[in-house]
Amino acid sequence: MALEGYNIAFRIGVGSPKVYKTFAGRTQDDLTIAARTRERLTKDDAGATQVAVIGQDVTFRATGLVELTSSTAITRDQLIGFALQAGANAVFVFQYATNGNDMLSGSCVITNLSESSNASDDATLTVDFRVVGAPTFDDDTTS
Amino acid sequence: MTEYLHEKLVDTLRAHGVNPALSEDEIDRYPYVTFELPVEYRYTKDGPYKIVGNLTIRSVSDDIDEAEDLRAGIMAAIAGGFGDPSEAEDPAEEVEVVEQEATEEEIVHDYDEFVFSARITDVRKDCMDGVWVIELDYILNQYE
Repeated sequence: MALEGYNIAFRIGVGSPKVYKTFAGRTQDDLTIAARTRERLTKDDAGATQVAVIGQDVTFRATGLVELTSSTAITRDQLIGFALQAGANAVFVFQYATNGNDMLSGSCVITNLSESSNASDDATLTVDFRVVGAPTFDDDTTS
Repeated sequence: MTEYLHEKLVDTLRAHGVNPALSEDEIDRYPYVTFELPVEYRYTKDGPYKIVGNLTIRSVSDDIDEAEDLRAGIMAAIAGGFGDPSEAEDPAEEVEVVEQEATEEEIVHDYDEFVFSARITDVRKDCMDGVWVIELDYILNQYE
């Protein structure tokens, strides 16, 4: 069964204790899991290169409208504040989940935030995240 | 989100003395105003947040002055009803705006809870067989 895109949510934990919130005005979430590989070729491999996976680079891209106010979701001003953090303050916990399905969770940092505004369309915001450490994938769904 | 762009447009024009008809209506008396307003919904993951209408509205008359008066009335009406009047390209100061009845202020419309805006994108003027047609293109927005 196909899954409607709006059922997928990327959330960031904010406050203490952590409350997981989506981004206000969100229109798209992109998840990328890219394997880090190492190639090896010995004479015993008889010319066939061997490839080993030594880890993954996990990244997210969240895209949405610039929303300045929201009572339940993370606004644009908060996101800019997050993007200006450094050190331990720049590490955020996240959840990436679909309703009733397994959830990916872990820690991440913001690697890029860009805001786009022209003269005629709605202003949009794009935030790139990179997962740090090993994410977990389980069915502890809270969405 | 229910679409109110059509209702809002017609009410706005009528309040300024312009009575529009849909393009498919057969009008046999000059001058007249027709329009087309296809709409599309814009979504976030939380649902529709805006309705965009691509309005083409035209004043038609065998008298250029009548067609221009209607054109000016349309622009004044939309500038006043859909956003900041100062944004209008032609405020049409010479056009007499029909005064609204005092009781009309008390009328509550279903669309009052929404925010509307308008942006003009093109004006075209043409004459064929002695009939003047002035077409205006607008982008109309309805926000929650």
